[in-house]
Amino acid sequence: MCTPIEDAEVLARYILSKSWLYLDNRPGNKLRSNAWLPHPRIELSVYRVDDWTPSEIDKKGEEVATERESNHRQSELGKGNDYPDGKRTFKYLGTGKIQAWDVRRSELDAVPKEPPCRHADIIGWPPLTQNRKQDVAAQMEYAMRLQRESHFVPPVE
Amino acid sequence: MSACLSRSQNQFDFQYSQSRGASRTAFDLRRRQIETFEKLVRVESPQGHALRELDDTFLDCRSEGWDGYDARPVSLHAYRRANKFLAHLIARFPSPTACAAPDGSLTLEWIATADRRFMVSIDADDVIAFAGLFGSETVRGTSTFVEDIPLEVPYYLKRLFRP
Repeated sequence: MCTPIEDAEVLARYILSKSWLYLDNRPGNKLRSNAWLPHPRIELSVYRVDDWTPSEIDKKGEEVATERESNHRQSELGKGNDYPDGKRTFKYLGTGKIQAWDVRRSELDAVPKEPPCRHADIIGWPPLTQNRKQDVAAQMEYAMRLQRESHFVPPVE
Repeated sequence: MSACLSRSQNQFDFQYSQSRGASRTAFDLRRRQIETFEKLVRVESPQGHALRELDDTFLDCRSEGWDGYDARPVSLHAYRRANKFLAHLIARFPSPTACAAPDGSLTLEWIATADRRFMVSIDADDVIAFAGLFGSETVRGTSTFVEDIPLEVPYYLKRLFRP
C-alpha cells in the first residue's frame, strides 16, 4: 500500500513505554510530547491505520511490542544480564493518533515507508546542524506541535 | 480537656492512649486530632510529584532502548543535573512533569493549557535545550546551565503562567 498519504488519513504511533504518557489524572491528551520526538533517525515511525478496526490496530500494536520485547531480551542476555522468563519490559499501551493533515499543518510531512506493510514516516524535521542542542530544541518544538494535534487511544482490551 | 491532647514522644505515633480525658468533648477532640495527623502523614508537598516523577523516570530509563525503540540511557549525571535545575525553580513556579527523551536527556515540561507549554531538556552537558508553545507562537533555544538558571527559563515560565 505505497499510495501517497491523503490529508484525511489517520496515522498511529504505537506506545510501548509508559514514559510516553502522563500518568497523573490530568484531563485531555494523555500523550507526552516526547512520544513524537524522532530518534535516532530524523524520521518518526507511524502506521497507516485508516481502514483498520480497533482490534486490528491493537493486534499490530501487540506484534510491535512483542518484536521489541524479543529484541530487548536478546540484547540484555547478550550483555550477560539476567532476564527472567516472565519479565516483560515493553507492553502495548495504546496508540497516539494524528491525522496526516495535522502533521502537514505542523510543517512536517507523512510519507509511506514500507516494509513493514502500512508503515509510514513523519519527515521534514528541521535539518541537523553542527549544534546537537539546537537540534534537540527544534525537534522538541515540532514534537509539541504534533502532541497538540494528536490524541491517545488506549487498547480496546 | 488538655489530657486528650497528650500524645507519645514520637511525633508520628498516633497512639493517644495516654489521654485521660473522658468527656464527650475530649473524645471528639482526640478523634479530630488523630484524623488531622493521619492526613498530614499522607500529604505531599506541591513539588513532591515532580521530584518523584524524576526519580521514577531515571529508574525506568537507565537502560539502552528503554522506549522499545533505540533510546539512549539516562545517565546519573543527567539525573543529578535535572534535580539541581528543578530545585532552583520549584518554589517559584507550578510543578512540571518529568520524563525522558530518546536521546537520553531528561525533560521537564510545564503545562498551562493544551497549547501553552514549555519544555526543557537536560543531560550531562552544560547546555540545556528548551522549546515552548504559546498558542500559535513557538519559541526554542539553548542556554548554559551550570549553577544559575538561564534567564530565558523564568522569563518563559512567567509568560506561560501569567494571568
